Amino acid sequence: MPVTSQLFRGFPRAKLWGSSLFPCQRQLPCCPTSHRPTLSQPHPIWPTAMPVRGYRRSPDLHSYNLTPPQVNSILKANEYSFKVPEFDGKNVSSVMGFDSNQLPANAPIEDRRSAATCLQTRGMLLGVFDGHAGCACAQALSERLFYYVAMSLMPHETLCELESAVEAGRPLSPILQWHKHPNDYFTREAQTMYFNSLRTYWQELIDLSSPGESLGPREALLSAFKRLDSDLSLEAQVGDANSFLHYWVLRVAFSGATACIAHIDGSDLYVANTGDGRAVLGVQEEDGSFSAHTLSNDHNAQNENEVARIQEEHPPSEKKTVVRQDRLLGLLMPFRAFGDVKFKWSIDLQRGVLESGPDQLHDNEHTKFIPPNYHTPPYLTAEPEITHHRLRPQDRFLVLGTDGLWETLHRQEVVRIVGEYLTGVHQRQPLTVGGYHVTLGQMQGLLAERKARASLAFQDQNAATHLIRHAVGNNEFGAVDHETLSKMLSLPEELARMYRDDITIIITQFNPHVVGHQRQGGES
Amino acid sequence: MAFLGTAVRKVASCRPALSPLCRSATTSRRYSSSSEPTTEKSVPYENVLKVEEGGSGPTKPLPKSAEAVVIGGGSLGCQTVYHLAKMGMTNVVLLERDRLTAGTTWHTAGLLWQLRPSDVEVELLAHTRQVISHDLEQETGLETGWIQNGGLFIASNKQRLDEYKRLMSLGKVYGIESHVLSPAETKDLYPLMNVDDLYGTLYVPKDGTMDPAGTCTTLSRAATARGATVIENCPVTGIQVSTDDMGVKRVKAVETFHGTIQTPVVVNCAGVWASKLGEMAGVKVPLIAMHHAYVVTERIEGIQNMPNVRDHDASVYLRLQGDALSVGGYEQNPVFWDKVSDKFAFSLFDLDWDVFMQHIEGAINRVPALEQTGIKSTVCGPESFTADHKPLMGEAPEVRGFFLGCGFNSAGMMLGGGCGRELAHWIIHGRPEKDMYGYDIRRFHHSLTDNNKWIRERSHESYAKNYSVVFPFDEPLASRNMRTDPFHKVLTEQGCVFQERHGWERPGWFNQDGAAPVLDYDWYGAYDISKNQNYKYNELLGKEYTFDYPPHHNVIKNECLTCRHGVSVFNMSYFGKFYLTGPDAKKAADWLFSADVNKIPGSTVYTCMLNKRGGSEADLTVSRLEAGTANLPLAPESNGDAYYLAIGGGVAEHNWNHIKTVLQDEGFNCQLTDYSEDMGMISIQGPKSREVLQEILDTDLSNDAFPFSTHKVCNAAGHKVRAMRLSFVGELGWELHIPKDSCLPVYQAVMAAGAKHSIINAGYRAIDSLSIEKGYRHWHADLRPDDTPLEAGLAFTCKMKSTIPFLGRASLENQKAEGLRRRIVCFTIDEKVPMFGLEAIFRNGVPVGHLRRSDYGFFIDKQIGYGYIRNPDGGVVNADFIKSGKFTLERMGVVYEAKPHLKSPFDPSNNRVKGIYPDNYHNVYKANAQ
Repeated sequence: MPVTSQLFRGFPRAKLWGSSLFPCQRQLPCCPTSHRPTLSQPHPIWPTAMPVRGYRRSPDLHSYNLTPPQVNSILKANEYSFKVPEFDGKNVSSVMGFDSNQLPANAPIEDRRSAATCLQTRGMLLGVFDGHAGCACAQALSERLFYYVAMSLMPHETLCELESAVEAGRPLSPILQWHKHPNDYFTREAQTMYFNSLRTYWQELIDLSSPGESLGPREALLSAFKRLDSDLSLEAQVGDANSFLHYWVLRVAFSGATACIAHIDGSDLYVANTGDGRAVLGVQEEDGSFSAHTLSNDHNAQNENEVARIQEEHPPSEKKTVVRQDRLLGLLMPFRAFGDVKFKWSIDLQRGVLESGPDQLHDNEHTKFIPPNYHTPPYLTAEPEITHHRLRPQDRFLVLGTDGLWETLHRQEVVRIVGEYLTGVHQRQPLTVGGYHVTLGQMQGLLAERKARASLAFQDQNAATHLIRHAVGNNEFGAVDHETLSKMLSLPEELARMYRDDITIIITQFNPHVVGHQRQGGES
Repeated sequence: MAFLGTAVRKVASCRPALSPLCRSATTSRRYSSSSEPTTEKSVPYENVLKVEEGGSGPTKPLPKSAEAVVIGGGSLGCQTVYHLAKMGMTNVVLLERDRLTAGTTWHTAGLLWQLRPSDVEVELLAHTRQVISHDLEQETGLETGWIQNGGLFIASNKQRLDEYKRLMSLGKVYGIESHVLSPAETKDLYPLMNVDDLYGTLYVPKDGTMDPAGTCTTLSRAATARGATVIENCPVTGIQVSTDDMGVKRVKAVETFHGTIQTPVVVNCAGVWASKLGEMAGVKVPLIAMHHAYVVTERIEGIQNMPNVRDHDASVYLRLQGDALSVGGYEQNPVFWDKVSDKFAFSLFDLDWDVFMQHIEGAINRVPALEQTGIKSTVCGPESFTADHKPLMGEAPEVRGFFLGCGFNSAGMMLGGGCGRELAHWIIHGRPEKDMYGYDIRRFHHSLTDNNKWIRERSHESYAKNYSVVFPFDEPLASRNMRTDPFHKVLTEQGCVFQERHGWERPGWFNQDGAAPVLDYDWYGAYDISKNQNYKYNELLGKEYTFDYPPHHNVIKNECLTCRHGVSVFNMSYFGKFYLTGPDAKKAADWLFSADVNKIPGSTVYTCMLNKRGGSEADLTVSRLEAGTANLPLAPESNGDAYYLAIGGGVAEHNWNHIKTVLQDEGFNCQLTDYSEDMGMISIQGPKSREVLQEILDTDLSNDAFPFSTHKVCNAAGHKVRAMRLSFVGELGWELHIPKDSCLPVYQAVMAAGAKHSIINAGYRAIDSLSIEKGYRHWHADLRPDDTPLEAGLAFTCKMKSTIPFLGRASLENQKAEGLRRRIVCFTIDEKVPMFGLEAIFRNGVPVGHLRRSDYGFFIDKQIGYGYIRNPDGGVVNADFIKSGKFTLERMGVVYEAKPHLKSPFDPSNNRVKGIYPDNYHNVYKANAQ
């Protein structure tokens, strides 16, 4: 136990509470079926590979020098853009489109993203998911959460129609139109199980509502989050006859993930957040500059309300142990998450489920590990905080990002970079030395960066890629330089996680001609 | 493990901590600038004349009338009013809209360099220095704030150092101490300087730094003490202009909110606001306002007492500011100030750092300590700039009595003293004392001075090239092809490399491998305008960026020698072509021209036009026309007293205005009409020119029938032309003045007839060489308004033996009686080194003058130079003085023995223009004819 704590303290940036709890990363491909070319070479877990000392001594790692095209191909590998189709040159949607991208630090990446248009109801769903202790939970969220939201939003009649179609064996009208990158994962084997769980949910929704009723967006989001997390837990407890699926549902439940999603319908923007992802609105001021308006609260130790909430939920005797070293029970950085049944189930349940589980679980010492001071579970919830914002014409874009973004760039800087990128204003804004002591040398560096920025923006066709370039490549002057980019991107897999986290970003651009001009509840 | 954690933390913590100040600096620009402390914008001077409470109304009552009203209380206004008072015109008023220096003077860097690549400028600067460092203190007992910390010019290549050595040689003539230092010597002088990339430096110990507020206050005190009135807080609202019975517009009065001052003279010293003031009187003031900036640093240890630095190659200057530096420069992409505001007293712009960026690099490279030095403040203010980076001075062509003293291209403090004095002289005596043609508004053709594109493009180029090496044969690339003659296209196709003069494209030389047309201005790629690719003309210009003979020296040689031995054709269409007619034309011609032009009709006379002091305002040919009816453009209606004036095209506007002014002053009733653009002119010169022309002209070209210095209207290949037997190159030859539409057919006929004599096109580079070889003058080079024809060896153009009075005659008579104190001399040297003018002339080791003009004489195969020499004892310069001396010329610090010539070394007996050639030519002719 003392050894383990020592280990955890050693990785302040790693939010996982035991990255090697499940050996899946190195023994199996992350997902049962992957449409992505798998990272199939052995992935040494990094505590065993310790070249850090060497890194510090000689900064000339062999792989340092990437050419600008190499850098670009790394940065652009996962970029995706979606533009809402226009009709007769007019875009009547409040969303013009979105740019998304992700840059792995973990191997394989534990972040996931989703984007979809609701087809049975109005609106668009966008979300970023940050997995820990493996990618399984985040993967499940990315495939399932939006269905749960869509169901929750459906009026009683639509749900009934759906149910009767399934009953009669008729084909279902599609519920979501996904906007996926070809590299986005898909768990084919689990689809039947997922569908059955979902159907159970909608049947309950039908039972609980009466004709003419539907949940409002706020209730719908809340219900969807809670229900999905509960389903993840139940599926793990029930298990599956198929040993592979049985193993999969346990991996999903024992790993964890945060979720930050947005539902945009006309001028109504709802953000539901569980964990430390973040949604920030880019607001263009009258002078053309951009300011950040945050639409979510981080659920972690930096949020006093969260600390107070957790302490209140447990007996005073646990006050000192429930949050230690800025972590839940001294282990987990996010204070809300999906999965993570080790923080939710009783000790008996955990032991019971593990003992009846597939053999793979027994091979690993860490599976038997119970968090310290584990007295009054559950310690963790997937219940989201929900924010409603009515879009105004000056609200130009929404940035959804996992904490990998927010810990490298201040939200104000994020909004400025994106704003300048989208408006094409890069260099012409005058630079002033606002009363700070600046040397000529510093000024020179600053100006060189400004000049370079214009050409960088030209390189990127995707706002999220542009933002990642800044998040990773900013040098000591807060400026992108190729050398820094090259160093950060050429770090060996086992080292990358020490310098940066997985970064996932979705930037949604609003249509200023539509938002703010719609009648409330009017057709979009 | 613990160690690993530290490592990670270290990496993590260093990233957000990245220089928070710079992050703030980047972000602060976008958000609520009001919440941030505003940028420190202030000049580095202790004393600024700004008065916060801003009294309303003028500081003194306005007089009802004045001899002159100077408008604008900056450097030029103060200097002009001071010099006017000092020269005895005491009923003068200076009106300043706000407080003295409030416009642009208050934020000027105030540098004074003594050496510039122009003799006149060196003299002007010397006078400024004299006034600021000596005269004012003596007169007022006040200090102007002058600091003599010296000046250091940086050369990072050989050509730059050559240019500095050239300045050093010129400095010797004027007694300006300067030293060429090696990098090591420079390091000793200026220990903080990086000398690794230096070729050498030029150190001028007595250069220094001026204080704008101190200087202007003192000037205003000194002027007031002599009776002038300086009134602040008094904006001018209008200028009254009256038109007299001859239709001449004259200044009548200056209007303000607080009263009107009757005055015949207004001096526009309004800086960037000068164009607006000009509009009030209907006067075009071709200047443009641009942002010009410098940055003041925090204290730098060890910088005290260091000289000011001008790093031309980096386009950067470093001005000493106590224990700190001001860093400024001239960038490729200056910011134009299009909306010149009236309310800008003591105001500055936000510095555009992106534009300024290029200077920081240069400055840090030169003084590496700057990298670690903080920025104290920025100074970015408007300055006025002009098409050729030279000021606008003199009486406006549009309105008599309206004088310009503006457009100083950020050198208003430095040139203020010298120019203030010249302007005062100009106002009081009608003309300046020195040759101010380079600053005279008349140097621009009137069709250009309100052409905004031309002003803007040309000003940009001059600004961006301000610190470029001044090479002798450089040409502008901005706003070319403004005025083209009928031959332009066909000559371009034949490889003509054009020169720009007065807006005209005139042939320079003929490139042997293809056309090299002048393209539209590409702004040197600034402002994201794409640069002209494969720009042959620009490449050819670049090849002449040398102080050696250019690579096409031999091409010019061929053009010259073909003219000397065969026949060449010169397109001189850019010539000014005026007719002087009317009842008083004869009287006017007698008075205007130094030579007697009233020979029989059909004669052509080379003459000067002089000013009151006998200085040569122009040289030209005047042809007395036969009586007859009008056949324009070839002939105006003539009663026998009509004159055709042919004038070098580059100075046409100046000649025009000189003549107009004299006609107005004397009240002559005659007309001057301009047919410059209605006729082209080619000159066919060389021993074979007669044979060629005889084929196409329907008139006898023999010496008897068509002697030298005569003209006739005749038919050329079926087109009426005026043929004039003249030469600018010293050969047998004729000029054909041809109506525009007939130009090309006549040219083609000449070329066809000349083909069997191997006729070629030649340009002005050849004319320059041929004419200096022959000993002909070029106005504004070896003949200037500060040279009399007697000094210039042109006594033969003066009708001194007659009794006819003419303008300047009295002065010439005095000079003749007293003997010449200075005189032009021709020198040849044996070494084959190019000279360009400004080389120092030594007689027995003592500097006695400098070359005005130099070129290579291909026929005599020697470098030739002309310069005026004086007797160091102040005595008379006569033939004996010249013959008895041992002369040397100093070029870039190297001394060459020179042979003086009292007569031109080429064809001294003047035979060739008369068609008298040595026998062998005749034999060649005969052989060809058979």
